[in-house]
Amino acid sequence: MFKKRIYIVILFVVILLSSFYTVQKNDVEEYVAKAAFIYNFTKFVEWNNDANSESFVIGVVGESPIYSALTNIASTKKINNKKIEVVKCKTTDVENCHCQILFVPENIGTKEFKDFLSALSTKNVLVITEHKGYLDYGSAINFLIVDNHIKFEINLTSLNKCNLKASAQLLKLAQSVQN
Amino acid sequence: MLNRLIYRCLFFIFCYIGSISSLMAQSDSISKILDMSIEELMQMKVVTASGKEESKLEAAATMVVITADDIKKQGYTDLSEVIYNLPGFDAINPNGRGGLVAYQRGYRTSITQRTLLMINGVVDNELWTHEALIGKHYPIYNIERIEVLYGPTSALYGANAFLGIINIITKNGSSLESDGQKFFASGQFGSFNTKSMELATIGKKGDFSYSFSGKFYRSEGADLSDKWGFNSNKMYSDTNTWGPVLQKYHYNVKYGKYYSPADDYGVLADVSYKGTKLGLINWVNKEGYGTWYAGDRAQNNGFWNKSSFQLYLENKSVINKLRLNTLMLYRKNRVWGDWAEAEPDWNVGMEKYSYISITNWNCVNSSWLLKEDVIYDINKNISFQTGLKYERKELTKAFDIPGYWGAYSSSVPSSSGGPHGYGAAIGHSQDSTYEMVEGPNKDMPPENLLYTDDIGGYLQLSAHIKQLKLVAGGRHDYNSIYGDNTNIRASIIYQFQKKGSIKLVYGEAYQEPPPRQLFGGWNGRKANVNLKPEKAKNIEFVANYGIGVMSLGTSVFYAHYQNVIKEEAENAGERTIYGLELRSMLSIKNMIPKSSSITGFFNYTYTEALSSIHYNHINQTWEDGETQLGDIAPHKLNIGVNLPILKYFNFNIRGNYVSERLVYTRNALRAKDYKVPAYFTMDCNLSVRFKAAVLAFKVKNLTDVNYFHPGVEQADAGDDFSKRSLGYRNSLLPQLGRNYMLSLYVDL
Repeated sequence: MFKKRIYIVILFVVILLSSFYTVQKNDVEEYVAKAAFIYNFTKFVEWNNDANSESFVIGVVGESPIYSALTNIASTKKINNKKIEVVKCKTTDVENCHCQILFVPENIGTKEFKDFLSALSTKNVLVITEHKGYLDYGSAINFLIVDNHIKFEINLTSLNKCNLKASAQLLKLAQSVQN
Repeated sequence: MLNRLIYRCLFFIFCYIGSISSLMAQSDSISKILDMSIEELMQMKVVTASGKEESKLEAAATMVVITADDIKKQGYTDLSEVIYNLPGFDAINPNGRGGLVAYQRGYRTSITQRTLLMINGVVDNELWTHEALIGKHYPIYNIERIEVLYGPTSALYGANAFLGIINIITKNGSSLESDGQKFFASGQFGSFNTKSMELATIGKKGDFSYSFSGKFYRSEGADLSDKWGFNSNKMYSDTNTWGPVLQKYHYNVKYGKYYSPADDYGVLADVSYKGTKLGLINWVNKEGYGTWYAGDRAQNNGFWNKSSFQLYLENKSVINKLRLNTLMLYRKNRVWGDWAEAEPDWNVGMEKYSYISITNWNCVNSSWLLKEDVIYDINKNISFQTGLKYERKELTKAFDIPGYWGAYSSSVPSSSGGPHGYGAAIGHSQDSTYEMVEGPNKDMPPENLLYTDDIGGYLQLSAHIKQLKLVAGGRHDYNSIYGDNTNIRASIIYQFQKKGSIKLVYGEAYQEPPPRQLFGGWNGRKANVNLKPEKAKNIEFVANYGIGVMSLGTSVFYAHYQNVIKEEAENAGERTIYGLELRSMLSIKNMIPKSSSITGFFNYTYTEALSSIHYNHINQTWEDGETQLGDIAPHKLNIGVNLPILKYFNFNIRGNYVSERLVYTRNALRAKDYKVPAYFTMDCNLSVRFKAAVLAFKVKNLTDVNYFHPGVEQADAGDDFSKRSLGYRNSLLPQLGRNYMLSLYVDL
């Protein structure tokens, strides 16, 4: 009888652990929503260098579950009548990652972020982060999670530095706007 | 046969959950939300392991949060059920006498009295015994969340924040998005003729808001007479033992059988205008003695009543960079009841007979509290927190028990020797009749009261340096009985990711000697006015991290305790406890269309508890020499899975494993190094939603496991049912078999 209970415990643990493994690969919900936010941001931000390009490129630094969420969007949607291309950017080579939006996942450390941000500061790239405090380091939009809801904050100085224009409507929706 | 069927069903359910998690696809969700505006996206609740973790990440302690959603999904109907599924608790259920006896982090005590129980930050531990009554009287469906803190925190909270804090935070009308109100009602019917009902409402109009929740709970109580010899009806009805007591009734039920009913109620309410809140906590817990005592010593058909009444006025205001919180509070606790006792006749050859008594007893305590907390934000990274507290307590000195073995009496003269010379209420089982004496006065006479003053102040600094947070503070408290106490705390918290942090935490605490042990003695229970406060020092390492949609937490702690107060009202010895707690939660996409995510939790607790003194069962004395404290299971597992099915159904299943454990060093069974066998129990809850109504069916102890908890207090009764018990408190406590509850919730 007792052995049976032990089996049940083991079964519980094994299934949970196997679920954890698959979860890590499929990190969903939060990043599906963030990808949708990013898609929406493009309706409220103006780029001045994308007129001649054939596609709208979104770069993702390193590994993040948002990559697959953005790829799904790219397969069905267009931005400014252009097909969407999602590319992975190496942390050591971000400045050569030609894109209009650069998403920096939370696991990118402060030092790495500061290093490649300085190289991007004059380029027309919207840098989006998801790390508390990264707005201070020069990110243009930073995601926050407040009571299980996604919010975002905007750094106007960073936007201006990158020659990007955000609509007043977007600024109004932001949790906070730094200037 | 039924068990096998249940096991098979469970196997398939979990295999199904496991397999579908690997088939998750994102495209459905993507297509739905791409058409949403940013405003709509911001309203959408996202499933993230970190969401409710964020406060935990920066808390200067190990912290577990139970949300209203957890309570609903897991089908919890009272606070004790929440405790069973927490890491770091050894929960003992005496099935009566008020509620669970919960030992937090391996610190065994007579009752739950070293953990602070708060309602919206207001301490609700009883004034005389310091008992946190984890019972069925608290309304549970208006709870917003329960925050459980681990480790000593007297440097911030003052006395008795010794092992940790359970803070129940109720829903507040001001949280409504717009003016309006919400109503909630629930009713439960279950095994043992159990009935309970809850009503709750919250509302808001402009700056005015309110919150009210009320509950009553009634139950005949389970009949556990066939599970443990000292609780058998044979013990309760033995004429040699009980004599004329068996002719008497308690609330229309004749003495002489196992009978332990419950009749509890509770109200939590507040009214707020802008930053000012008037709050009320009022409850009565009226329960039989369950399996606490051996049936040849005490009838469990009696009421041990406890009540709490607290009325408070709280004001929160902001002046520039100052945040002020003022609390003015009046509280009154009463502990009273009745008690049918059979003390074995000590004369040679008369052991099977008893000195019998049926007595009523009373104890009333009250206090006035004034508290001011101030937070000063120097800038966005540095803040000071300081506070002052003054509390004046009016305490009962000795239990008022007319006619009982020379105890203090407010009605019958204590000097009255009665028929046998031991007290007006003391008869003998060979007497043909028994006459009860007059009960105590409801109010305590002034000669049995004393007054104490508590003054305390603290200062705490909190600084953020990039991703680093430093918290350091100290507190000094003075009590007019036992003097001064200073405690400090310090912690370093490094938040390395949005979902991850590591902490190194040091904390100290002190536990006041409870007035019951300082003054409340009689010849059967000692009191000691020279008791010193217990001291705790704890260091721990905490890591919280999120991987995908899973959150993990780990705490490793080492705690040292001095001046430990034993059951016998003595400061004796030290304790050393170390342990590990692993906590994990996950949320994964549900493959069933239109169904919310599948969630799960898994906790593992390892605890090693050592005492510097041990009980010598041959000499019947406490002696120096380190030993396992006992009653603390080294390994404990809590596990649960919640599966929503469409919008209408929700299935929740939980399991608790408690490893084999040596009984407490004072327990009579420790003489033969008895170990309480390991057990694994499961509870499940299936709910069906139809519009605003939810019907839920809960099964506890699904596989009908027959298991025991170790006894409480001295646990000195032993297990030789062929003789009179060795002491009053049972050494083992039988637990409930499979039982059911049907609940109906209406949310308007």
